[in-house]
Amino acid sequence: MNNSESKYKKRSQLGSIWKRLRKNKTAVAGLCVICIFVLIAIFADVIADYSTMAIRMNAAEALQPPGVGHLFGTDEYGRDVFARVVHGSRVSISIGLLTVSIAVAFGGLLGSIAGYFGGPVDNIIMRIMDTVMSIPAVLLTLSIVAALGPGMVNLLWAMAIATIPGFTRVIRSVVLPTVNQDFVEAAKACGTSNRRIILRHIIPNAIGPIIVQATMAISGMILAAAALSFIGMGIQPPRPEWGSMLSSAREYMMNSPYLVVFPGLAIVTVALSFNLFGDGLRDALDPRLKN
Amino acid sequence: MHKYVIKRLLLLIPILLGVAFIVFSILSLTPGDPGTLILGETAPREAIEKLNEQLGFNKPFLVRFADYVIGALHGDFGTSYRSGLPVFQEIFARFSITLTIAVLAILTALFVGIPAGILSAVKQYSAADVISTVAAMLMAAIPGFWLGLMMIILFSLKLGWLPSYGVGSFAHYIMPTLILAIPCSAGLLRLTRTTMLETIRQDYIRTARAKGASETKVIWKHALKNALLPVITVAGMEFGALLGGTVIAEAVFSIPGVGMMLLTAIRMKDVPLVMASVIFLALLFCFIMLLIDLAHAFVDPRVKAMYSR
Repeated sequence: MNNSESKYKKRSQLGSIWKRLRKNKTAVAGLCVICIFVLIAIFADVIADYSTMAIRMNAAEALQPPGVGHLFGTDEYGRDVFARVVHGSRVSISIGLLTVSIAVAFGGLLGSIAGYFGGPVDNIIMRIMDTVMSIPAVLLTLSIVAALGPGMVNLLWAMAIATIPGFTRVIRSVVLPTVNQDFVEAAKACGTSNRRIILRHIIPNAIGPIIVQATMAISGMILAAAALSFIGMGIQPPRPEWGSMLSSAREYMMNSPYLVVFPGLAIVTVALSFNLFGDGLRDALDPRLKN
Repeated sequence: MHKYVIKRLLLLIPILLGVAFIVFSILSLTPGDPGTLILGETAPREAIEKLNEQLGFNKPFLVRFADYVIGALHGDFGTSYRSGLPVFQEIFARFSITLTIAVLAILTALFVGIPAGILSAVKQYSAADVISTVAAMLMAAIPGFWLGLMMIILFSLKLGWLPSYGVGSFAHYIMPTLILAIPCSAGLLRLTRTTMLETIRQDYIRTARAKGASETKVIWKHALKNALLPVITVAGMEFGALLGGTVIAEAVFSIPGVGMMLLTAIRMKDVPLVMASVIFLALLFCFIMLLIDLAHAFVDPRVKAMYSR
């Protein structure tokens, strides 16, 4: 009886968040576009074959404008731009999701430890984070990429390391108010271990703002990864990535502006959708801010 | 108050040491050695080894770091491996360009973001509010470098109004400033709107209205002063980030600023140049944050009271 009641309550809270979110048309639109892009990323090979369309060079078909055969035209090597944009979604979306996941995991751990224990532990963690934060993020990422070498996994870690301090700060600030609440006191009185209190009591109560922050950060990460690839410090050719596609299109943009238009539009659409969804999510999780 | 400033200035020492240590460790993981960099790949092996020995490259990591710190404390930040010039000579030669772009960008962002944010909050759910929030959403999602390319196509290649690369006249600075200012002003707009909306609902605003103050006075005198505090902080952080983050804009418009210099230096593993620039930028960032905190105390008596305790 007791069990089923708590289950019911849990569902109703999620349900009411979903209900509020559903009313927000822009957030739903954002979510739909995100889903479409995730599906495109998953089924990229079905939509356009990687080896024959996205990376195989074909000088005979170079720089063809958008048309029936090539929806978005072809680039300077005769590769189909549509296929490259489709496969680029794989890179961008997985970078966005993975970097933010790493940053949330480490930031969550450090932030909740700092907020929960306070005192010298808090001081040490936060001073280290302040130090990392005073290095301009772009430069920190660039140096780490230079040290590790280019490539997707290294780029992921480099961007995540530069993002962890920001998340640690946010998570500490949402953890701090929960630390002195009665349910934490009660858990302590029951002899619950610190680890369990942090994982089972503190983090679940601070999860709302963390989710919102994370959703908003995804678009920032996608933009940053594209920018790094654009200056040649991210994903390396011939692997299709929206930023590096824009970089190689620069030389041809006078006569073939479509080369610059489509990858850019893809970035804007994905980034915008994550922002709209994150915004709606914030309103749905914290209805006080509305009205 | 003085005590607080001194404390903050003293805190700079561990922060800068930490920054130096982090960057030094990252750079020492980077493949390559200074001898090969300075003399070139084709130089005889012995000459390279000798130069590496001279530069202390063969010593253990911590000894090298200690040597660097001791040198830096004596004002010797080393010479660039590539140009052979003292690092700060190189940095200052390019810093004015980056500073100009960053200042122009943050001023543009403030002049666009704050008024639009206030308007949007005061007239919540009006057409102006909807337009500016949608515009802010869109502006935050556009990658600066892509916008730069599109602007080059339109204003340089098609219309021929603005130069597409380099520095020189004021016209050269317009597009780089804009692509940096646009995401920045989007952020400031949204923040101003949020804080303003929160402030308008406070009790003291209701009190001001109840005592019969005019709407203009309520907004400009009572609400704005309180709502802008977080905006000042974020604007300062954005400015600090801009100083170290102009590299993308500089790459799009081929501008010889600190960003491009650093990008080359990081690629070439020009350790002294990267170290000095990053320490310099981190110092600037810390100073900006300190100035902002002091500005808070200046504007807000509550904050001032907290410091004098």
